[in-house]
Amino acid sequence: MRVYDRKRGEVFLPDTKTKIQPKFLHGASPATDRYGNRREMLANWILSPDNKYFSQALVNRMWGHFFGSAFVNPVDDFNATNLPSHPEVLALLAEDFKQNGYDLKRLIRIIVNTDVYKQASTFSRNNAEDHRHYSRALMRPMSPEQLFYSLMRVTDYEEQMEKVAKKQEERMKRRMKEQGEDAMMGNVSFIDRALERFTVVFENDEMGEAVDFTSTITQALYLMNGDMSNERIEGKRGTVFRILQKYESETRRIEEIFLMTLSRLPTRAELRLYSTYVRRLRGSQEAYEDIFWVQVNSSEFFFNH
Amino acid sequence: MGECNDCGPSRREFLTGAFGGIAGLAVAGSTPAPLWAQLMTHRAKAKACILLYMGGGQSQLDTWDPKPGKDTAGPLKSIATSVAGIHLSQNLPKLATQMKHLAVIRSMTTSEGSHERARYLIHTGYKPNVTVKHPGMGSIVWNELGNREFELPQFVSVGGGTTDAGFLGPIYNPFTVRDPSKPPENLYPKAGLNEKRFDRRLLLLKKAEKEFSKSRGGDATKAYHEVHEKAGRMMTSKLAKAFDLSREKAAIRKQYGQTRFGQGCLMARRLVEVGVKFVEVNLGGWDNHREIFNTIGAKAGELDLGMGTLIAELQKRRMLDETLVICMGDFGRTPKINANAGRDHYPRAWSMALAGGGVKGGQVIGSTDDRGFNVSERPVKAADLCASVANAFGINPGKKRITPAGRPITVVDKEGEVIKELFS
Repeated sequence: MRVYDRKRGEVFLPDTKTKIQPKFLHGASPATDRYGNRREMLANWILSPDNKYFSQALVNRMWGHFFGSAFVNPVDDFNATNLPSHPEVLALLAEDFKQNGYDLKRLIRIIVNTDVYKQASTFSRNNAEDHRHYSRALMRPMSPEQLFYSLMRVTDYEEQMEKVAKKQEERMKRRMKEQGEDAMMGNVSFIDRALERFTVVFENDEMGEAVDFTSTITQALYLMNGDMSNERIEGKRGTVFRILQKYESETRRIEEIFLMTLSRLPTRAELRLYSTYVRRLRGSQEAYEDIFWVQVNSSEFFFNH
Repeated sequence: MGECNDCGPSRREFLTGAFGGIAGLAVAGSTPAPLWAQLMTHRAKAKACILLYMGGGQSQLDTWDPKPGKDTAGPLKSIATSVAGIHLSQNLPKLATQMKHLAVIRSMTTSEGSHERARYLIHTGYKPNVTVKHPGMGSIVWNELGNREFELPQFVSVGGGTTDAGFLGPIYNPFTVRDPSKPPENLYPKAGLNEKRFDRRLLLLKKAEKEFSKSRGGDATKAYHEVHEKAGRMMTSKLAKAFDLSREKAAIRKQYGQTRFGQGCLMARRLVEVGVKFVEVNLGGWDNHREIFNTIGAKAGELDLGMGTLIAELQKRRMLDETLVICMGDFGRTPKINANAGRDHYPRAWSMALAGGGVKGGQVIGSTDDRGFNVSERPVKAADLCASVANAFGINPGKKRITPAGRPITVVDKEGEVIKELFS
């Protein structure tokens, strides 16, 4: 694929021959053709040292990405009635970003090394309602992609998917030999297609960077009643069966489920809760499947905390 | 909800509280001496609404407001309807026979000419605005009249393309069914997940969540739990059968047309039958900038079959009086046929139609000039329409509520006046 500027595409007043000259937001007309083409002129204008908005907007976005709440929210709504929560910090970071050639890695390094980024998400009565002053880390829902890959990982599905993907790739290679490069046109890998279907369910443009959780019923139905939390973990081919094969003791089995889904061991209280549950169901596989289901549907699993 | 980040749980509780009818959300007060006040007392007949949304902007000249013999008409003719003196485009033969139930407004005049903004305006009655996101009609009706005990979402969108709940919060966002020909994915409990086992899991989940919610909970987990709970109730509800069209006779399914829209109309009827308050069915493909006369017949035919059958069935089942049916789009299309044999966006003078829910049928409200360029009598604004929908339900359009930013705002823009001809 090649991208190039066509150097045309004038805009005319409808039904007339009056050409409308392009203008920047502040009203200045770009010098014509000084830089060769308009896209480049736009890029130069955006990056110009006089334009304070670009560095601020980008810093704001990055901050929002890492904290779940930016200085200006929504991240693309800088306006006079929507002022930043911490203008000094925003200005400081924006200036540094500009001075260092808009180096994103540097910006990210600074953000994740701040004390405020190291905070836990636990809170007390005193700051339970704080969403804006960074007195604690905010809980963030996983992005659809993150959730998809997490679910694949915990259900061992990733490995199976990779096998299918490999087979598909071999098939494609054969076809390419026969038909040339055209065989690749419009080819979507198995995993990509699964991900695409998944993101349709979890599609939500506010979910990407927002702390305001906007879960939908469609998503909840998927988590509670979808194949990832049912078929994939049940029966002789499911995840839970493999855990039971591997570990004998009730405690180790529960611990393994915790490690797989939440990357931690259960607390003593949790162990008690689930042991009782398992015993009530006479140690059946069903009981462990239920426990697995509970973890995948828990807010601890769903939220980045 | 994006515009407010400093509002704590109190706001969500505030809104949730209103759902249950707890006094507090509505600030006493209303617009002075409004028209609705006199009308509302005896005109609140609607219990549900089915909104058929003509995404892209429907050509009024080729549907509700034909101009036979004029240069703007194109090759299509008009036909007589079951009401003497009222003509519709030849594209709507079935609806023409239902004219006695229809009120056609030919004098819509709105201010937005781009799809997104127009869609927002006609659904909310407000112009898009950076400081507040207004709720659409479906969310308003759910919020005002929904019943907490009801097991299904009270606002269902078939095919998407509607607006969301804005500042009312995501709890009142529509539940979206993408393809009505099959039930929504994961709605019916999987084999092996019987009710007993599902309840057991939910109970265990509830216990498990306690610890985490205590130290890290707050708004996010609360909303998460609420949505999970709603989804769970829906899964196990008998009412959820309404989403399964295979329970209808094949002959009935066929009458609506074997299209997404037709089947969507049938699903809407089934949902309203079990008590859903607001169903919006999307019919896209009206954005005919080119070659309009090659496609408009088929598109309008789809509408005619779906909407015509819907009205006939509602009537037969004695549901029409309590079910408001609306057919509208983003805006109308230019009377002038452009160089590509198409019609462009035209918010200045366009048409829509209503039926049922207490609306007086067999009438045309307003008119355009003889070639269709301007409204010549009785201009109707988007806010007038929204006020009228509120009126049909007995919702006070002047009722004030507080946005997350702390600003009092009326349910419908104060400029909106109930279109009294609809109800008299």
